[in-house]
Amino acid sequence: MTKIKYIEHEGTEHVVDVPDGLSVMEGAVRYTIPGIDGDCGGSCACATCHVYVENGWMAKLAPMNDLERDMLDFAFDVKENSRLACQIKVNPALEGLVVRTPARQY
Amino acid sequence: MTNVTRETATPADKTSPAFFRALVEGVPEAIIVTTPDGTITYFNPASEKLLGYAQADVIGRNIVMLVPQQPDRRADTVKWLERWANEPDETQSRFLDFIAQTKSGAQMPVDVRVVERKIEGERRYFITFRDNTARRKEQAAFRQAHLRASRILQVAEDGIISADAAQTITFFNLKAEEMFGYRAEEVMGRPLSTLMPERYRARHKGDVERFGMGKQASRQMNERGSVVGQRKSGEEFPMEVAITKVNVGGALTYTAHVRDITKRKQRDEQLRESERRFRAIFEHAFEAIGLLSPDGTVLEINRAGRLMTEGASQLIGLPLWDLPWAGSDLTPDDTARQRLRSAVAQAAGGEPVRYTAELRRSETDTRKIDISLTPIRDDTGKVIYIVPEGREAVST
Repeated sequence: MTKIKYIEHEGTEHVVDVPDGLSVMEGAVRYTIPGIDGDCGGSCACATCHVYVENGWMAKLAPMNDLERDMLDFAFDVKENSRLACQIKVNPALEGLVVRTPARQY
Repeated sequence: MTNVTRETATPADKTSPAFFRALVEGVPEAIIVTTPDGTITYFNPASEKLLGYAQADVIGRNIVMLVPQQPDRRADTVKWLERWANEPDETQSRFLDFIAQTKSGAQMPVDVRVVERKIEGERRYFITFRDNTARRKEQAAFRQAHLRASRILQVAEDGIISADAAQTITFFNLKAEEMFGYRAEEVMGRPLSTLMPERYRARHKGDVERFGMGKQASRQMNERGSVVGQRKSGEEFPMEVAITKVNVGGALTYTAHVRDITKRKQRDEQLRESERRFRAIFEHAFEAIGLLSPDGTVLEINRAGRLMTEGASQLIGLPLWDLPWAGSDLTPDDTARQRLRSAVAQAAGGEPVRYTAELRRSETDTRKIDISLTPIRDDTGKVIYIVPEGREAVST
Protein backbone atom coordinates (compact mmCIF):
# COMPACT_ATOMS: atom_id res chain seq x y z
CA MET A 1 0.00 0.00 0.00
CA THR A 2 1.23 3.45 -0.91
CA LYS A 3 -0.37 6.67 0.25
CA ILE A 4 -1.61 8.88 -2.58
CA LYS A 5 -3.33 12.22 -2.17
CA TYR A 6 -5.92 13.18 -4.80
CA ILE A 7 -7.06 16.80 -4.78
CA GLU A 8 -10.23 17.66 -6.69
CA HIS A 9 -10.11 20.80 -8.79
CA GLU A 10 -12.26 22.65 -6.27
CA GLY A 11 -10.00 21.62 -3.40
CA THR A 12 -11.46 18.51 -1.77
CA GLU A 13 -8.65 16.19 -0.70
CA HIS A 14 -8.73 12.39 -0.60
CA VAL A 15 -5.82 10.57 0.99
CA VAL A 16 -5.98 6.86 0.26
CA ASP A 17 -3.76 3.82 0.40
CA VAL A 18 -3.46 2.37 -3.07
CA PRO A 19 -2.18 -1.20 -3.43
CA ASP A 20 1.20 -1.29 -5.17
CA GLY A 21 0.95 -2.38 -8.79
CA LEU A 22 -2.34 -0.58 -9.44
CA SER A 23 -2.28 2.63 -11.42
CA VAL A 24 -3.12 6.01 -9.94
CA MET A 25 -6.28 5.90 -12.11
CA GLU A 26 -7.32 2.52 -10.68
CA GLY A 27 -6.70 3.85 -7.17
CA ALA A 28 -9.14 6.71 -7.83
CA VAL A 29 -11.79 4.35 -9.19
CA ARG A 30 -11.40 2.05 -6.17
CA TYR A 31 -12.25 4.89 -3.79
CA THR A 32 -14.88 6.58 -6.02
CA ILE A 33 -12.81 9.74 -6.21
CA PRO A 34 -14.51 12.15 -8.63
CA GLY A 35 -12.71 13.76 -11.55
CA ILE A 36 -10.89 10.75 -12.98
CA ASP A 37 -12.96 8.87 -15.53
CA GLY A 38 -10.74 6.26 -17.14
CA ASP A 39 -13.01 5.63 -20.13
CA CYS A 40 -10.75 3.14 -21.89
CA GLY A 41 -10.06 1.17 -18.73
CA GLY A 42 -6.38 1.98 -18.50
CA SER A 43 -5.02 1.05 -21.91
CA CYS A 44 -3.76 4.57 -22.67
CA ALA A 45 -6.37 4.89 -25.42
CA CYS A 46 -8.15 7.97 -24.12
CA ALA A 47 -7.35 11.07 -22.15
CA THR A 48 -10.03 10.92 -19.45
CA CYS A 49 -7.70 10.19 -16.54
CA HIS A 50 -5.72 13.39 -17.03
CA VAL A 51 -4.16 14.67 -13.78
CA TYR A 52 -1.71 17.35 -12.72
CA VAL A 53 1.22 16.01 -10.74
CA GLU A 54 2.09 18.16 -7.74
CA ASN A 55 5.40 20.01 -7.54
CA GLY A 56 8.50 17.91 -7.20
CA TRP A 57 6.85 14.60 -8.04
CA MET A 58 7.13 14.78 -11.82
CA ALA A 59 10.84 13.81 -11.72
CA LYS A 60 10.16 10.76 -9.54
CA LEU A 61 7.71 9.22 -12.00
CA ALA A 62 8.72 6.89 -14.81
CA PRO A 63 9.03 9.09 -17.90
CA MET A 64 6.16 9.49 -20.33
CA ASN A 65 6.22 7.35 -23.45
CA ASP A 66 5.20 8.68 -26.85
CA LEU A 67 1.76 7.13 -26.72
CA GLU A 68 0.89 8.87 -23.46
CA ARG A 69 2.31 12.18 -24.74
CA ASP A 70 0.21 11.86 -27.87
CA MET A 71 -2.88 10.85 -25.97
CA LEU A 72 -2.58 13.98 -23.82
CA ASP A 73 -3.37 15.90 -27.04
CA PHE A 74 -6.96 15.03 -26.36
CA ALA A 75 -6.96 16.26 -22.78
CA PHE A 76 -8.14 19.76 -21.93
CA ASP A 77 -5.87 22.44 -20.50
CA VAL A 78 -2.66 20.41 -20.63
CA LYS A 79 0.24 21.80 -18.61
CA GLU A 80 3.91 20.97 -17.94
CA ASN A 81 2.88 18.66 -15.10
CA SER A 82 0.08 16.84 -16.94
CA ARG A 83 0.08 13.04 -16.93
CA LEU A 84 -2.40 10.28 -17.58
CA ALA A 85 -3.13 8.61 -14.24
CA CYS A 86 -3.44 5.17 -15.87
CA GLN A 87 0.22 5.35 -16.85
CA ILE A 88 1.51 6.00 -13.32
CA LYS A 89 2.04 2.66 -11.61
CA VAL A 90 1.94 2.84 -7.84
CA ASN A 91 5.03 1.64 -5.98
CA PRO A 92 6.51 2.38 -2.55
CA ALA A 93 8.77 5.09 -4.00
CA LEU A 94 5.62 7.14 -4.66
CA GLU A 95 4.59 7.26 -0.99
CA GLY A 96 2.95 10.66 -0.50
CA LEU A 97 2.39 11.40 -4.21
CA VAL A 98 -0.04 14.26 -4.77
CA VAL A 99 -2.13 14.60 -7.93
CA ARG A 100 -4.79 17.16 -8.81
CA THR A 101 -7.75 16.50 -11.09
CA PRO A 102 -8.62 18.98 -13.86
CA ALA A 103 -11.93 20.79 -14.14
CA ARG A 104 -13.06 18.59 -17.03
CA GLN A 105 -12.01 15.35 -18.70
CA TYR A 106 -13.97 15.89 -21.91
CA MET B 1 -31.04 -6.88 -45.39
CA THR B 2 -31.64 -9.00 -48.51
CA ASN B 3 -29.02 -11.51 -49.44
CA VAL B 4 -27.82 -11.29 -52.96
CA THR B 5 -28.01 -14.83 -54.27
CA ARG B 6 -25.85 -16.35 -56.93
CA GLU B 7 -28.74 -15.99 -59.36
CA THR B 8 -29.50 -12.31 -58.74
CA ALA B 9 -25.95 -11.02 -58.25
CA THR B 10 -24.89 -9.78 -61.60
CA PRO B 11 -21.25 -8.92 -62.24
CA ALA B 12 -22.35 -5.28 -62.28
CA ASP B 13 -23.16 -5.46 -58.57
CA LYS B 14 -19.52 -6.07 -57.82
CA THR B 15 -17.68 -4.12 -60.38
CA SER B 16 -19.70 -1.36 -61.97
CA PRO B 17 -18.72 2.22 -61.09
CA ALA B 18 -22.44 2.95 -60.72
CA PHE B 19 -22.67 0.43 -57.92
CA PHE B 20 -19.78 1.93 -55.96
CA ARG B 21 -21.00 5.46 -56.49
CA ALA B 22 -24.45 4.50 -55.26
CA LEU B 23 -22.83 2.77 -52.29
CA VAL B 24 -20.73 5.67 -51.00
CA GLU B 25 -23.43 8.20 -51.78
CA GLY B 26 -26.23 6.12 -50.35
CA VAL B 27 -24.82 4.72 -47.09
CA PRO B 28 -26.02 6.53 -43.99
CA GLU B 29 -22.41 6.96 -42.97
CA ALA B 30 -20.43 10.18 -43.29
CA ILE B 31 -17.38 9.64 -45.50
CA ILE B 32 -14.62 12.13 -46.28
CA VAL B 33 -11.54 11.49 -48.36
CA THR B 34 -8.43 13.65 -47.96
CA THR B 35 -4.86 13.78 -49.11
CA PRO B 36 -2.23 13.02 -46.44
CA ASP B 37 -1.89 16.75 -45.75
CA GLY B 38 -5.63 16.99 -45.02
CA THR B 39 -6.94 18.51 -48.25
CA ILE B 40 -10.50 17.33 -48.82
CA THR B 41 -10.99 15.50 -52.11
CA TYR B 42 -14.37 13.87 -51.49
CA PHE B 43 -17.34 14.63 -49.23
CA ASN B 44 -20.33 12.27 -49.41
CA PRO B 45 -24.00 13.27 -49.02
CA ALA B 46 -24.16 11.89 -45.45
CA SER B 47 -21.29 14.25 -44.55
CA GLU B 48 -23.16 17.14 -46.17
CA LYS B 49 -26.19 16.29 -44.11
CA LEU B 50 -24.29 15.95 -40.85
CA LEU B 51 -22.10 19.05 -41.19
CA GLY B 52 -24.34 21.29 -43.28
CA TYR B 53 -21.69 22.02 -45.92
CA ALA B 54 -22.19 21.33 -49.62
CA GLN B 55 -19.41 19.46 -51.41
CA ALA B 56 -18.46 22.64 -53.22
CA ASP B 57 -17.89 24.41 -49.89
CA VAL B 58 -15.21 22.00 -48.80
CA ILE B 59 -13.52 20.29 -51.73
CA GLY B 60 -9.95 21.51 -52.01
CA ARG B 61 -9.91 22.98 -48.48
CA ASN B 62 -8.15 21.50 -45.45
CA ILE B 63 -10.08 19.25 -43.12
CA VAL B 64 -9.10 21.43 -40.13
CA MET B 65 -11.86 23.79 -41.29
CA LEU B 66 -14.25 21.24 -39.85
CA VAL B 67 -12.54 21.30 -36.46
CA PRO B 68 -13.02 24.36 -34.24
CA GLN B 69 -10.03 26.05 -32.68
CA GLN B 70 -9.86 24.93 -29.06
CA PRO B 71 -7.34 26.99 -27.14
CA ASP B 72 -7.25 24.55 -24.19
CA ARG B 73 -6.86 21.43 -26.31
CA ARG B 74 -3.93 20.80 -28.57
CA ALA B 75 -4.92 17.78 -30.69
CA ASP B 76 -3.55 18.25 -34.20
CA THR B 77 -6.20 16.88 -36.56
CA VAL B 78 -3.96 16.05 -39.50
CA LYS B 79 -1.31 14.46 -37.32
CA TRP B 80 -3.92 12.25 -35.65
CA LEU B 81 -5.49 11.23 -38.95
CA GLU B 82 -2.05 10.17 -40.06
CA ARG B 83 -1.51 8.24 -36.87
CA TRP B 84 -4.83 6.43 -37.11
CA ALA B 85 -4.18 5.71 -40.77
CA ASN B 86 -0.81 4.21 -39.90
CA GLU B 87 -2.18 2.11 -37.07
CA PRO B 88 -5.66 1.13 -38.18
CA ASP B 89 -6.30 -0.11 -34.66
CA GLU B 90 -10.01 0.32 -34.41
CA THR B 91 -10.25 0.41 -30.62
CA GLN B 92 -8.33 3.68 -30.44
CA SER B 93 -10.89 5.97 -31.94
CA ARG B 94 -13.61 4.58 -29.69
CA PHE B 95 -12.31 6.62 -26.78
CA LEU B 96 -11.02 9.67 -28.59
CA ASP B 97 -13.33 12.30 -29.98
CA PHE B 98 -12.53 15.06 -32.33
CA ILE B 99 -14.83 18.00 -32.00
CA ALA B 100 -16.41 18.81 -35.36
CA GLN B 101 -18.00 22.11 -36.28
CA THR B 102 -20.95 22.39 -38.65
CA LYS B 103 -21.42 25.17 -41.15
CA SER B 104 -23.76 26.92 -38.73
CA GLY B 105 -21.11 26.80 -36.01
CA ALA B 106 -22.63 24.04 -33.89
CA GLN B 107 -20.08 21.69 -32.33
CA MET B 108 -20.31 17.97 -31.79
CA PRO B 109 -17.94 15.25 -30.60
CA VAL B 110 -17.31 12.85 -33.45
CA ASP B 111 -16.06 9.30 -33.41
CA VAL B 112 -13.56 9.05 -36.27
CA ARG B 113 -12.09 6.07 -38.14
CA VAL B 114 -9.51 6.36 -40.84
CA VAL B 115 -7.67 4.09 -43.22
CA GLU B 116 -5.07 4.92 -45.90
CA ARG B 117 -5.50 3.68 -49.47
CA LYS B 118 -3.76 4.38 -52.74
CA ILE B 119 -5.85 5.37 -55.73
CA GLU B 120 -3.92 5.26 -58.96
CA GLY B 121 -0.71 5.78 -57.04
CA GLU B 122 -2.00 8.72 -54.94
CA ARG B 123 -2.25 8.35 -51.14
CA ARG B 124 -5.65 9.12 -49.69
CA TYR B 125 -7.21 8.91 -46.21
CA PHE B 126 -10.66 7.36 -46.19
CA ILE B 127 -12.36 8.80 -43.15
CA THR B 128 -15.69 7.81 -41.64
CA PHE B 129 -17.15 9.69 -38.71
CA ARG B 130 -20.23 9.65 -36.53
CA ASP B 131 -21.92 12.15 -34.31
CA ASN B 132 -21.05 11.01 -30.80
CA THR B 133 -23.14 13.57 -28.90
CA ALA B 134 -25.83 11.16 -27.75
CA ARG B 135 -23.37 8.53 -26.55
CA ARG B 136 -21.27 11.12 -24.72
CA LYS B 137 -24.39 12.51 -23.05
CA GLU B 138 -25.47 9.03 -22.01
CA GLN B 139 -22.03 8.32 -20.62
CA ALA B 140 -21.95 11.58 -18.71
CA ALA B 141 -25.46 11.03 -17.32
CA PHE B 142 -24.59 7.49 -16.29
CA ARG B 143 -21.35 8.58 -14.69
CA GLN B 144 -23.07 11.39 -12.81
CA ALA B 145 -25.85 9.10 -11.60
CA HIS B 146 -23.28 6.61 -10.41
CA LEU B 147 -21.21 9.27 -8.72
CA ARG B 148 -24.27 10.87 -7.15
CA ALA B 149 -25.43 7.54 -5.71
CA SER B 150 -22.00 6.71 -4.32
CA ARG B 151 -21.56 10.20 -2.89
CA ILE B 152 -24.99 10.06 -1.20
CA LEU B 153 -23.98 6.81 0.47
CA GLN B 154 -20.58 8.28 1.26
CA VAL B 155 -22.02 11.18 3.28
CA ALA B 156 -25.08 9.38 4.74
CA GLU B 157 -25.76 9.85 8.45
CA ASP B 158 -25.85 6.09 9.01
CA GLY B 159 -22.71 4.04 8.86
CA ILE B 160 -22.94 2.22 5.53
CA ILE B 161 -20.78 -0.80 4.92
CA SER B 162 -21.03 -3.02 1.87
CA ALA B 163 -19.52 -6.45 1.41
CA ASP B 164 -19.41 -8.96 -1.39
CA ALA B 165 -20.78 -12.51 -1.32
CA ALA B 166 -17.66 -13.67 0.56
CA GLN B 167 -18.37 -10.97 3.20
CA THR B 168 -15.31 -8.98 2.25
CA ILE B 169 -15.76 -5.24 2.82
CA THR B 170 -16.11 -3.32 -0.46
CA PHE B 171 -17.52 0.02 0.72
CA PHE B 172 -17.15 1.92 3.96
CA ASN B 173 -18.61 5.40 4.20
CA LEU B 174 -17.50 8.42 6.21
CA LYS B 175 -19.90 7.77 9.10
CA ALA B 176 -18.63 4.20 9.34
CA GLU B 177 -15.08 5.57 9.47
CA GLU B 178 -16.07 7.86 12.33
CA MET B 179 -17.96 5.12 14.17
CA PHE B 180 -15.41 2.34 13.91
CA GLY B 181 -12.24 4.46 13.87
CA TYR B 182 -10.94 2.84 10.68
CA ARG B 183 -10.27 4.61 7.43
CA ALA B 184 -12.06 3.00 4.49
CA GLU B 185 -8.85 1.78 2.93
CA GLU B 186 -7.83 0.03 6.15
CA VAL B 187 -10.85 -2.23 6.14
CA MET B 188 -11.68 -2.60 2.46
CA GLY B 189 -10.79 -6.14 1.46
CA ARG B 190 -11.01 -7.35 5.05
CA PRO B 191 -13.81 -9.58 6.43
CA LEU B 192 -16.99 -7.87 7.57
CA SER B 193 -16.60 -9.57 10.95
CA THR B 194 -13.49 -7.44 11.60
CA LEU B 195 -16.00 -4.90 12.90
CA MET B 196 -17.25 -7.05 15.77
CA PRO B 197 -15.71 -8.65 18.84
CA GLU B 198 -13.97 -11.98 18.27
CA ARG B 199 -16.55 -13.95 20.26
CA TYR B 200 -19.40 -13.05 17.88
CA ARG B 201 -17.58 -13.42 14.58
CA ALA B 202 -18.31 -17.03 13.69
CA ARG B 203 -21.99 -16.72 14.55
CA HIS B 204 -22.32 -13.44 12.71
CA LYS B 205 -20.82 -14.88 9.52
CA GLY B 206 -23.38 -17.67 9.60
CA ASP B 207 -26.22 -15.20 10.23
CA VAL B 208 -25.24 -13.16 7.19
CA GLU B 209 -24.90 -16.29 5.05
CA ARG B 210 -28.37 -17.45 6.03
CA PHE B 211 -29.74 -14.01 5.29
CA GLY B 212 -28.01 -14.18 1.88
CA MET B 213 -29.77 -17.43 1.07
CA GLY B 214 -33.14 -16.33 2.41
CA LYS B 215 -35.97 -14.58 0.65
CA GLN B 216 -36.01 -11.34 2.64
CA ALA B 217 -34.26 -8.40 1.00
CA SER B 218 -33.64 -6.62 4.29
CA ARG B 219 -33.57 -7.45 7.96
CA GLN B 220 -33.06 -5.79 11.31
CA MET B 221 -30.17 -7.55 13.02
CA ASN B 222 -31.39 -6.48 16.47
CA GLU B 223 -34.26 -8.96 16.52
CA ARG B 224 -32.35 -11.05 19.01
CA GLY B 225 -31.00 -8.32 21.27
CA SER B 226 -28.54 -5.58 20.54
CA VAL B 227 -25.61 -6.15 18.22
CA VAL B 228 -22.15 -5.35 19.50
CA GLY B 229 -19.57 -3.61 17.34
CA GLN B 230 -15.89 -3.21 17.94
CA ARG B 231 -13.94 -0.08 17.15
CA LYS B 232 -10.35 -0.11 15.94
CA SER B 233 -9.31 0.78 19.50
CA GLY B 234 -10.90 -2.48 20.69
CA GLU B 235 -13.71 -0.62 22.46
CA GLU B 236 -17.09 -2.34 22.11
CA PHE B 237 -20.32 -0.48 21.52
CA PRO B 238 -24.02 -1.29 21.02
CA MET B 239 -25.27 -0.92 17.46
CA GLU B 240 -28.57 -0.95 15.71
CA VAL B 241 -28.02 -2.72 12.41
CA ALA B 242 -30.20 -3.29 9.37
CA ILE B 243 -28.80 -5.46 6.61
CA THR B 244 -29.87 -5.43 2.99
CA LYS B 245 -28.81 -7.40 -0.04
CA VAL B 246 -28.90 -6.62 -3.72
CA ASN B 247 -28.00 -8.78 -6.66
CA VAL B 248 -26.57 -6.80 -9.55
CA GLY B 249 -25.05 -8.47 -12.57
CA GLY B 250 -25.06 -11.80 -10.77
CA ALA B 251 -22.99 -10.46 -7.88
CA LEU B 252 -24.45 -10.40 -4.39
CA THR B 253 -23.77 -7.31 -2.30
CA TYR B 254 -24.62 -7.06 1.37
CA THR B 255 -25.00 -3.65 2.93
CA ALA B 256 -25.13 -2.98 6.65
CA HIS B 257 -26.78 0.24 7.83
CA VAL B 258 -25.35 0.89 11.26
CA ARG B 259 -26.16 3.25 14.09
CA ASP B 260 -24.09 3.65 17.20
CA ILE B 261 -26.70 3.53 19.98
CA THR B 262 -24.32 4.08 22.92
CA LYS B 263 -25.86 7.47 23.66
CA ARG B 264 -29.43 6.25 23.25
CA LYS B 265 -28.74 3.38 25.65
CA GLN B 266 -27.25 5.80 28.15
CA ARG B 267 -30.31 8.05 27.89
CA ASP B 268 -32.65 5.08 28.32
CA GLU B 269 -30.73 4.02 31.39
CA GLN B 270 -30.84 7.55 32.83
CA LEU B 271 -34.59 7.64 32.27
CA ARG B 272 -35.04 4.28 33.94
CA GLU B 273 -32.96 5.41 36.90
CA SER B 274 -34.97 8.61 37.21
CA GLU B 275 -38.19 6.59 37.06
CA ARG B 276 -36.89 4.24 39.79
CA ARG B 277 -36.09 7.20 42.06
CA PHE B 278 -39.39 9.01 41.69
CA ARG B 279 -41.38 5.83 42.00
CA ALA B 280 -39.55 5.07 45.23
CA ILE B 281 -40.54 8.44 46.67
CA PHE B 282 -44.10 8.10 45.44
CA GLU B 283 -44.62 4.53 46.55
CA HIS B 284 -43.11 4.93 49.97
CA ALA B 285 -44.66 8.26 50.94
CA PHE B 286 -46.57 8.17 54.21
CA GLU B 287 -49.51 9.98 52.69
CA ALA B 288 -51.93 8.50 50.20
CA ILE B 289 -51.03 10.01 46.86
CA GLY B 290 -52.40 9.38 43.42
CA LEU B 291 -52.57 10.81 39.94
CA LEU B 292 -55.87 11.48 38.17
CA SER B 293 -56.82 12.52 34.70
CA PRO B 294 -58.93 15.74 34.75
CA ASP B 295 -62.12 13.65 34.57
CA GLY B 296 -61.16 12.00 37.87
CA THR B 297 -60.00 8.64 36.55
CA VAL B 298 -57.27 7.11 38.69
CA LEU B 299 -54.01 6.75 36.72
CA GLU B 300 -51.66 5.99 39.60
CA ILE B 301 -52.12 5.32 43.27
CA ASN B 302 -49.40 4.70 45.83
CA ARG B 303 -49.09 2.10 48.53
CA ALA B 304 -50.57 4.28 51.30
CA GLY B 305 -53.49 4.98 48.97
CA ARG B 306 -54.01 1.31 48.29
CA LEU B 307 -53.97 0.58 52.03
CA MET B 308 -56.75 3.14 52.55
CA THR B 309 -58.91 1.31 50.08
CA GLU B 310 -58.90 -1.76 52.26
CA GLY B 311 -57.67 -4.24 49.75
CA ALA B 312 -59.78 -3.49 46.70
CA SER B 313 -57.95 -5.20 43.88
CA GLN B 314 -58.61 -2.99 40.83
CA LEU B 315 -58.28 0.76 41.36
CA ILE B 316 -56.62 2.11 38.25
CA GLY B 317 -59.18 3.26 35.69
CA LEU B 318 -61.98 3.91 38.17
CA PRO B 319 -63.23 7.39 39.07
CA LEU B 320 -61.69 8.48 42.34
CA TRP B 321 -65.08 8.85 44.04
CA ASP B 322 -66.00 5.27 43.26
CA LEU B 323 -63.11 3.84 45.23
CA PRO B 324 -64.18 2.12 48.39
CA TRP B 325 -62.05 4.36 50.60
CA ALA B 326 -64.32 7.24 49.82
CA GLY B 327 -66.74 5.27 51.95
CA SER B 328 -69.60 5.65 49.56
CA ASP B 329 -71.08 2.29 50.17
CA LEU B 330 -70.54 2.69 53.88
CA THR B 331 -72.62 5.79 54.20
CA PRO B 332 -76.37 5.71 54.05
CA ASP B 333 -76.48 8.73 51.79
CA ASP B 334 -74.25 9.71 48.90
CA THR B 335 -72.91 12.92 50.45
CA ALA B 336 -69.24 12.02 50.74
CA ARG B 337 -69.10 10.71 47.20
CA GLN B 338 -70.81 13.77 45.76
CA ARG B 339 -68.53 16.07 47.74
CA LEU B 340 -65.42 14.35 46.36
CA ARG B 341 -66.78 14.39 42.84
CA SER B 342 -67.45 18.11 42.88
CA ALA B 343 -64.01 18.73 44.43
CA VAL B 344 -62.40 16.85 41.50
CA ALA B 345 -64.42 18.93 39.03
CA GLN B 346 -63.26 22.09 40.78
CA ALA B 347 -59.62 20.99 40.58
CA ALA B 348 -60.10 20.06 36.92
CA GLY B 349 -61.21 23.67 36.48
CA GLY B 350 -57.80 24.73 37.70
CA GLU B 351 -58.51 25.49 41.34
CA PRO B 352 -56.68 23.68 44.14
CA VAL B 353 -59.10 22.15 46.67
CA ARG B 354 -58.61 21.24 50.30
CA TYR B 355 -61.22 19.93 52.69
CA THR B 356 -61.80 17.44 55.42
CA ALA B 357 -63.99 14.53 54.52
CA GLU B 358 -65.81 12.52 57.09
CA LEU B 359 -66.10 8.83 56.50
CA ARG B 360 -68.64 7.11 58.64
CA ARG B 361 -68.45 3.37 58.90
CA SER B 362 -71.08 3.21 61.55
CA GLU B 363 -72.77 5.45 64.01
CA THR B 364 -69.77 5.07 66.31
CA ASP B 365 -66.86 4.79 63.83
CA THR B 366 -66.12 8.06 62.07
CA ARG B 367 -62.82 8.91 60.42
CA LYS B 368 -61.76 12.29 59.23
CA ILE B 369 -59.52 12.55 56.18
CA ASP B 370 -57.76 15.71 55.03
CA ILE B 371 -58.03 15.73 51.28
CA SER B 372 -56.22 17.97 48.83
CA LEU B 373 -56.56 18.03 45.07
CA THR B 374 -53.87 19.89 43.15
CA PRO B 375 -54.32 20.64 39.44
CA ILE B 376 -51.22 20.10 37.29
CA ARG B 377 -50.94 22.18 34.14
CA ASP B 378 -49.01 21.68 30.92
CA ASP B 379 -46.96 24.40 29.20
CA THR B 380 -50.08 25.98 27.72
CA GLY B 381 -51.80 26.23 31.11
CA LYS B 382 -54.26 23.42 30.45
CA VAL B 383 -54.96 21.09 33.38
CA ILE B 384 -53.67 17.66 32.41
CA TYR B 385 -53.52 15.87 35.77
CA ILE B 386 -54.86 16.19 39.27
CA VAL B 387 -52.77 15.03 42.21
CA PRO B 388 -55.04 13.84 45.04
CA GLU B 389 -53.55 13.45 48.50
CA GLY B 390 -55.22 12.11 51.58
CA ARG B 391 -54.15 11.80 55.18
CA GLU B 392 -56.02 10.83 58.27
CA ALA B 393 -56.79 14.00 60.21
CA VAL B 394 -55.38 14.08 63.69
CA SER B 395 -58.45 13.82 65.88
CA THR B 396 -58.82 16.44 68.53
